[in-house]
Amino acid sequence: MASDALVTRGLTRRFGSRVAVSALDLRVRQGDVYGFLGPNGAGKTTAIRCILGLIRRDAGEVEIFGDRHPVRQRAAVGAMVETPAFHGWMTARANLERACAFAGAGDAASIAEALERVGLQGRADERVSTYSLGMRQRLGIARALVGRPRLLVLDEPTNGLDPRGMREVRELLAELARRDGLTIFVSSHLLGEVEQLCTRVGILERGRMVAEGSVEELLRGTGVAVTEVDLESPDRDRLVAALDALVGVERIGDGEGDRLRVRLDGVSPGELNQRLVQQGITVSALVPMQKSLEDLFLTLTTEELT
Amino acid sequence: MTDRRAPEARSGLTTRHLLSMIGAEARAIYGRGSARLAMVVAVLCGVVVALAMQWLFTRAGMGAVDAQINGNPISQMVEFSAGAVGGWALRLRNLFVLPLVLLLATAASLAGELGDHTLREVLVRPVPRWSVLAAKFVVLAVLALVTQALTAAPALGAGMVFFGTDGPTSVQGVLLGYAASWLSDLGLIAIGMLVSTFARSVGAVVVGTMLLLMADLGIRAVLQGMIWLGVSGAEAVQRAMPGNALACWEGFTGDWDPAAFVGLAVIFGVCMALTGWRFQRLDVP
Repeated sequence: MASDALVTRGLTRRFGSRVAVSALDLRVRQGDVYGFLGPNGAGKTTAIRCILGLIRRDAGEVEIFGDRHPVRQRAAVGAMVETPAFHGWMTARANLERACAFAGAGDAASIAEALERVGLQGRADERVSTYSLGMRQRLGIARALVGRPRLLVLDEPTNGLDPRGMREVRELLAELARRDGLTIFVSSHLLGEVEQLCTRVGILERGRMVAEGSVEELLRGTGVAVTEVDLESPDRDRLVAALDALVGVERIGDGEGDRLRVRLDGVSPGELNQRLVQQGITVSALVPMQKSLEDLFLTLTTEELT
Repeated sequence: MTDRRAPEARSGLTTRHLLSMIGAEARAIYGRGSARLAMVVAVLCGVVVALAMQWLFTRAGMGAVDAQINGNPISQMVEFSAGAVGGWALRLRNLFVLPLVLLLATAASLAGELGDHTLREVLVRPVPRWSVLAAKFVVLAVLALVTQALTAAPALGAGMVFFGTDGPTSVQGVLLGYAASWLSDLGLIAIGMLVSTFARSVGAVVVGTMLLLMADLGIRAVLQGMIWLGVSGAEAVQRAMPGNALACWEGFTGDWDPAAFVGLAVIFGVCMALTGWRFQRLDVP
């Protein structure tokens, strides 16, 4: 059985008395596109730095492709942490050659391939100081790709990009996962993007993992067994009165058109329909509202999303 | 099962990989302004001293009417030989400017890269950190050696053309002085690397090292007082101070002080060990 691409067990990092990452357990399987979510200050970047060995960890362990010594797996991991930094006076190609030399992985062909993947082959021999923020971001991804790693670790890769740039990066990552079979571990604020891109997500809150699984699994209600439905009835007044009397049903406002939106807690949409019908109320429409990742995120995290 | 092999064995770091890191580091360090400035200053030291001595020699009248300074004939005050030119060029080189520029290059390579996050980019694919330090040190040491050669070559070359090699100061002795001076450069690089693990900017490293050397002067004065008072052991400590180590280039004058080299070795060893220890535990920003 193939080992997982990335596993952390009990990963902990403190800064003084503040615990930035607390006993973090996460598991990224090979082939996953794993979205690492959390509000600002939740500890995502600290966790990524610990995983990559940039900062010390106070406790816990990191396993990359079954190896507890990440230094031995360096050729298998490409990474971009926050805003990528470059020697501005060097050309893009020279910066990538430097990365190859230090990593001990990659060659001229893989550099050319990486530059082509991010669409910078035409400007590879220009100084990076002439690059825009978006081009630097793409060059950062190219640097992570040189040497053809099996795992990509990207921290906020769409930071500072315009909507077009964001879409390009999203499409690039999707293609890398689909065509090249790369495992991708990506932290992001952009929940809509993560929802479109990621097969599994982990949600971090104050240094702790509060939920991990596929988007569908999490939405189906692990930990947040609340469903919202829109209801419509020709007899709206009776419907309102009946809903207010039911246990586990909370009216939260208007839905689309004349519909009422209610939140169900421990009651399935089918049971609600049955109870209303038993009271002689005609239900002309009952539409379960699909919760988005954003709803889930806001439910699981107390911090305000910024 | 726990891997009990040494980290180097676990890292899979090969000599070829280490050489490619040194090559990449050389490209970065030599591409920076400070390294190019060091080389230009080194050449200027040799050329300026050779031209100045040729001018003085001409003033001395080439054995005719000897010009005088404070009543003393120049030809008796100054030795005109290739060795003397090389010696004065080395003194000028080590006076202030070149050690400062070498310190700048050291600071740019470590503290500068920590500050602008470019060091993070080579460590996200984790190589053993000692290998990064080793690559930087080797390139800086070679830079120091190149600057020694760039001062020695024009000074000794022009000195031979202008004055020949006869004189009390032998060319071999001066070359030995350049070698000793290179060793003291290594001490300075080691100190600069250690300070770089505490600072995040080039300026802070330069100021920090200066303060360290000034503190060294102060401590030496205190130790001098202790020696004067007859406190045994103070002299041994004083000889291990960086200032003493950095002064060992004066050995070329013939006044060799083995203690200066012991001091240099101690400073170098302690600084490199502390740098390695600090860098290993450093949270890379």
